[in-house]
Amino acid sequence: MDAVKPLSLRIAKGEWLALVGHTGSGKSSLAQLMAGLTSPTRGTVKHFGRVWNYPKDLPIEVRRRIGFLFQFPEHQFFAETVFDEVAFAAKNFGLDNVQDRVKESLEVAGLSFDQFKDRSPFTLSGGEKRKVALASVMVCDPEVLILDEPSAGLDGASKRAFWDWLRDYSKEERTVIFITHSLEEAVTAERVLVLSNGTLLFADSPREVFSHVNTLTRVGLEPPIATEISYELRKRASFPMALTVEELVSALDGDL
Amino acid sequence: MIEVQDVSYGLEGRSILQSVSMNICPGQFTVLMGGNGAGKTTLAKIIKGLLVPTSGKVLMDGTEMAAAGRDYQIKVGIVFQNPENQIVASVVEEDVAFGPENLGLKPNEIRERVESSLKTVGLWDLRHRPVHALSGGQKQRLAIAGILALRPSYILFDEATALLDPVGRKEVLETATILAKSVGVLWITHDLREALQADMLYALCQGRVVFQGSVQEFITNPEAMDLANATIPEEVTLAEMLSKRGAHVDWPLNKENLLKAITSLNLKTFH
Ligand SMILES: Nc1ncnc2c1ncn2[C@@H]1O[C@H](COP(=O)(O)OP(=O)(O)OP(=O)(O)O)[C@@H](O)[C@H]1O
Ligand SMILES: Nc1ncnc2c1ncn2[C@@H]1O[C@H](COP(=O)(O)OP(=O)(O)OP(=O)(O)O)[C@@H](O)[C@H]1O
Ligand SMILES: [Mg+2]
Ligand SMILES: [Mg+2]
Repeated sequence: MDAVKPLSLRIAKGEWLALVGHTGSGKSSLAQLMAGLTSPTRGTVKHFGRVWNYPKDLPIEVRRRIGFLFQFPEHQFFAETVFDEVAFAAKNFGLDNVQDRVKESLEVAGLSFDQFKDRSPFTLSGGEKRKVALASVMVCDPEVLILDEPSAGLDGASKRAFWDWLRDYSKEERTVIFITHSLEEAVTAERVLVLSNGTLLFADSPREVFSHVNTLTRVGLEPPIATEISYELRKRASFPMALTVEELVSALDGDL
Repeated sequence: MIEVQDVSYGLEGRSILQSVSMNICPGQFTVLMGGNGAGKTTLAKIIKGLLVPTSGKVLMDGTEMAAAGRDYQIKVGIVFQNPENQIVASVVEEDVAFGPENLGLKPNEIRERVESSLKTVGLWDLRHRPVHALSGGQKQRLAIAGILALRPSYILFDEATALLDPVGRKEVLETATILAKSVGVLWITHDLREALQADMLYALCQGRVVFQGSVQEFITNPEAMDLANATIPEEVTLAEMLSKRGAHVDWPLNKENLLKAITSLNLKTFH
């Protein structure tokens, strides 16, 4: 059985992309292929325009350009302190100002440097672990960022702060690919990739993808409440498709 | 009933829980919210008996946990935030059988429990699959099946749906809701949507209980919401906007009730 079935896909520099699909649909597998962490059984993956001899030999200067956040933060932890954990990649890639970088990326992830730098990453709370994992990816300032369920386990306020920050980050010609189970989060993407049983069903703008409410529901996804409601209203009369509550309400206001 | 009485917990000179009191009743769905690091998992571990409080006590039906010993332990199941901390065997069905085997149950009984638990979480077809070949969400379902097979009287779900897709989330939440008709459920979450059906909601902030009451009271209490780092679900935002426009919205706040409220507005399109 293949976790990901044959597919072709090209991601442009600077894209902001959501990867969604039911449990076991192949998201993590595809993300790891994209990151060059695993190699395909068949076919090829090109990074920055060419095939490298990954996974072992993806050269260090290519690896440092791609940041990858694992679905389980513990999978990337090994150090005894949060500081060493976050500093590792920066040191490994020979970057300067390691201390400043660690401090900045911890604060960006929502953790106080002084409070957390000497803690063991393994005794942190679930959300704190996710934040440290994020910080250890961010510390190298990668131009391609691949995040496997980055917002899982974050509290509401942290989630909001994280998305605001990520949007800004992506504006500077960085490529961001994130996996999520929340189509409300995927709404913000430029392109949404929908996987089902290892097959790529859609790779299009949220407006286009979310118009297929029936298909999405059939493959285990849940469109945002505003989309579902406007979809029901459209069955009865002409009504615009809404992706957000704001869009839905302003359509209703135009109609009152 | 489980009663947490004035429980405090400290580590390395740091206070993690402070004078926490809470009840978990059989037949009730109790929700625990709070920001990252607020102390939710620590509290769940204390209730399960995995950590000993610095002060205060935990009672079950009037008997102190320490005095009840193993009888207490067996009655309380916990589904951990990270399913990998809970999976012990290398094949799906063996993992679920592990707990019942430890309870010393008969092979027939074990088989029956393994089958019904795996079916409840939708993993029956994957029962022979090696655990390392499961996706994140499949592991989470496996962890839940392992606890169901123990048939505890109380189940503590620590962010048990965080890695599931919407359908899986609904299924697990429904399973927990059905369980909560007889057992006592403590449901830890960051997602208020999963709390909409709670009998009682507690919120922690920096180790203290900062709110205790109904969900409706909680979402109309901006200060408590803020302290718990909670955000309003889109359903609630929409319901509020519809109310402002004169619609009456029934609870629970689902698609059906929101649609009903919208069609009750005098929309031109639908005339
Ligand atoms: N090492 C493996 N051997 C065989 N099958 C595997 C292996 N790893 C994963 N799979 C299977 O491949 C499929 C895709 O897994 P993947 O982890 O990519 O899913 P996912 O979309 O990330 O799911 P989730 O949302 O639950 O994390 C699943 O059915 C999984 O059980
Ligand atoms: N060994 C330790 N030393 C110091 N602090 C610790 C230790 N273990 C846990 N803590 C801290 O205790 C606090 C409470 O942790 P807990 O896991 O209970 O939080 P939580 O509410 O479950 O958070 P989350 O939503 O992130 O899962 C956290 O700030 C955590 O870092
Ligand atoms: Mg995955
Ligand atoms: Mg926790």
